[in-house]
Amino acid sequence: MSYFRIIEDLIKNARGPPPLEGVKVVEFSHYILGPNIPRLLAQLGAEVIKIEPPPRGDRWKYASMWGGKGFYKGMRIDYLYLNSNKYFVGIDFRKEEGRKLVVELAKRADVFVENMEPGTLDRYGLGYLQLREVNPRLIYVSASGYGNWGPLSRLPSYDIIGQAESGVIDTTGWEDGVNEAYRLPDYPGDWLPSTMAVSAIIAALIYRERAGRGQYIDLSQAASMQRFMYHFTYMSLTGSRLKRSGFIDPSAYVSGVFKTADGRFAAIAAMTERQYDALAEAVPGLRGMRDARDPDSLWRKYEAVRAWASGRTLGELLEFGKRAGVPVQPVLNDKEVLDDPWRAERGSVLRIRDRLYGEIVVPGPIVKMSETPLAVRWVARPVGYHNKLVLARKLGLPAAEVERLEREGVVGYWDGQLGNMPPPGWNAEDDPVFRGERDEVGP
Amino acid sequence: MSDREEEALRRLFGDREAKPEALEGVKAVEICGTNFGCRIAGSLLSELGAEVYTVPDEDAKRITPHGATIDGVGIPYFVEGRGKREVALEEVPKLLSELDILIDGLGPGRLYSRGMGYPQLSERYPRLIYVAISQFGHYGRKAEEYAEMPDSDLTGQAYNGYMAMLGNPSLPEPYSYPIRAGIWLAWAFAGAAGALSALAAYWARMRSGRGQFIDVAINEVLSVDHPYQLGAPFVLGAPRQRSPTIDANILVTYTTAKAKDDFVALATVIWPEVEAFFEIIGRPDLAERWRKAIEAWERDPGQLKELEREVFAEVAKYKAEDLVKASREKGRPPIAVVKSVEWVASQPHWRMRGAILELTCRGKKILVPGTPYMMSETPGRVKLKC
Repeated sequence: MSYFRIIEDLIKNARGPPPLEGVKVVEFSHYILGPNIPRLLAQLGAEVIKIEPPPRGDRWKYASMWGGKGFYKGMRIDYLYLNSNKYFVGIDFRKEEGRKLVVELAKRADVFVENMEPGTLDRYGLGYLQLREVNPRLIYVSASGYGNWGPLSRLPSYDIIGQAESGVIDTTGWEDGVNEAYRLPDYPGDWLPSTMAVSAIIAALIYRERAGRGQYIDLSQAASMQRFMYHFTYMSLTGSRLKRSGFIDPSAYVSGVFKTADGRFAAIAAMTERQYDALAEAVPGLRGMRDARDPDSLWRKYEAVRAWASGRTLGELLEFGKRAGVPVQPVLNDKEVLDDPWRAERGSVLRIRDRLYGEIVVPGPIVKMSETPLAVRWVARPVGYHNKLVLARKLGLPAAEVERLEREGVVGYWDGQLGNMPPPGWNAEDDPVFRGERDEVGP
Repeated sequence: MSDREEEALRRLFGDREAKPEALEGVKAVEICGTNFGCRIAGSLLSELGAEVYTVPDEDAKRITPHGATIDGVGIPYFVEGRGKREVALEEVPKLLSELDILIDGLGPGRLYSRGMGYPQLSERYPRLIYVAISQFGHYGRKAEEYAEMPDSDLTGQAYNGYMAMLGNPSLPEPYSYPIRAGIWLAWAFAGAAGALSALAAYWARMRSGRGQFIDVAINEVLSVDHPYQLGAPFVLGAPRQRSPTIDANILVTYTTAKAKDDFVALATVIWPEVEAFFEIIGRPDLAERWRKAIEAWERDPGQLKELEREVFAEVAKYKAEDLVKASREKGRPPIAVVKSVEWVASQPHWRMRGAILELTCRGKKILVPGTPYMMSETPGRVKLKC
């Protein structure tokens, strides 16, 4: 059997429990930076309880996308993805009893994730120093633009402001002739830091096994982006700044985006001498220029490849890349990503049947594991949807007590605003999960 | 947060050097070749305290902006090599019995053909966690088809659908083509996914006693983590269009703009912020027109384009700092001057927090990215060396 088949068998036959099964997470966060951390933890099998103040909760769910076309059966599509595999409780933490409920959830939790403005939760007695008193094993994560302490810690924290303050916008775009600087699209200032934070959380869990203590993780989105800015080193080493260079990777021997004969865009990057030499065999005008790596030379080399690539189809360029060992790939658009057979084969674009919202295409697991497979089992729910399930079955409150808390407005539900509702035709009486009689998955 | 609370926090994170490391006792080796997604995965484990060995690679040492080197080593290699011990590929088998994690970035089948693939190693070392990081993964038709083609960050950004959303299509060719994020975003995402999955497997192994194989595909991590590449075409039935000035999702000016003297970043997300922004630039009338243009967006995207030009012409009349000041006075929306790399490097905030570090190499002061892992009990650490 070939290597590829052996690995395929391993991945396709993965049947074990997910890696973080048994880990309990409380999420007290909104927008993207905070919620993406528990999203990934939940994908890895942790139990995540997302606390929102009723009836509106996390405001990100209402942002209008694509002219109001971003909703799917009443919920925004990206919100459904970002909050998959989570349990939703609506707790008014400004009421003393609500605050106590949050504390009760934190007592049984391993991880607590928040991304409110620095200091907000401390005012309600839900900051790290306060929750540590009731649960010294708690791993508490505050995610913010610049971290919770330091001279810049009180700046507003939004993906784009974090990008501006980190310097990363100054790395993207063009300069000299065309002077433009762009924010990185689709909010990577949220997605990348939150992904990096997951490693710190699991490392803290591993440490806790040894030391018995939890800890506080103060995540800064700007610092997480800076982690990948070799620009600081370049500047201090050479005395000049690394200029924005559009599609050219200044670390390559030659690179760029090219328009092909069939009207497609292809990215080509010769990262090594060997790759450059292989390209120079085919491209007129490249030979002898390999070691000239200053910006002007990189541009001249780009132009030589551009002239060559413009006479070739994308298919021909890909064949060349495979044969010559040079990185070449198409610039895919959204639709091509969605329809990519490779992604479907790997389960990275998944069509699932969500118990509440029905058939839906979702992004699959971030990695594929052979013993402890990850899964996307259900998508987001409206505010408070799992109140009964969580309070009665997970916290052990008697039904009468849950009813009292509801009556007194300590816990509450969605109000049917677009972005915060069950699908059309939903009926509470017919929904055993909403009524707390069974879990989303399993018996 | 009060000054006193902030001081309490600062103390909590103090004395970093004297504290233990989270992953003390965890041993990893990375065999990356020129794949920096692989090196970044190793680095993140190292920053969290794992003992990481790296197999040196001469080609990787030469991957560096405009050929710049520190003692003959390229900048990315220098940064991602910190705290790691070098080991020759031939020596790796000697480490295997005490190894927890092996990160393979060479491409599918390479280590297998040397007798060091997961199928062979797992027989002898069932506790081994093997993380494969490659462009199309280690199984399936495409992985096999592209097995001989090396990966790169640029092609990763392209295949993830990311570059399609970046750049200004209104510029003359070729400046109008899709461009890259100025950092290695595809490699960074792959590295972050590699590190977190290695640790998730380590956690699982503490219970099961068994290791496993993990497959990370550089060409997909970014687009499964970011939900827009799938979500947008799923509900719209069509790809989004890139624009440097209008956010392709919320269709408002959540973007950068050229003020009179500098670039500014405008964080208008919710409608009251959009209205406040139009008031700041002295054009409250634009709010209603913008709202109508969004309603008409699908059948006539040109309306938004036209308004966009008007808005940015107004922004260009103001000094960047004046816009920031006006937004602070109004309370919204957040606006910031786009900081240059030089300015950022000079900020005490990043030095205090260890996000940017300074070291002296042969008498020369060099700045390097630090670690974002600010942890109270087991602070992340980079082991500086020249």
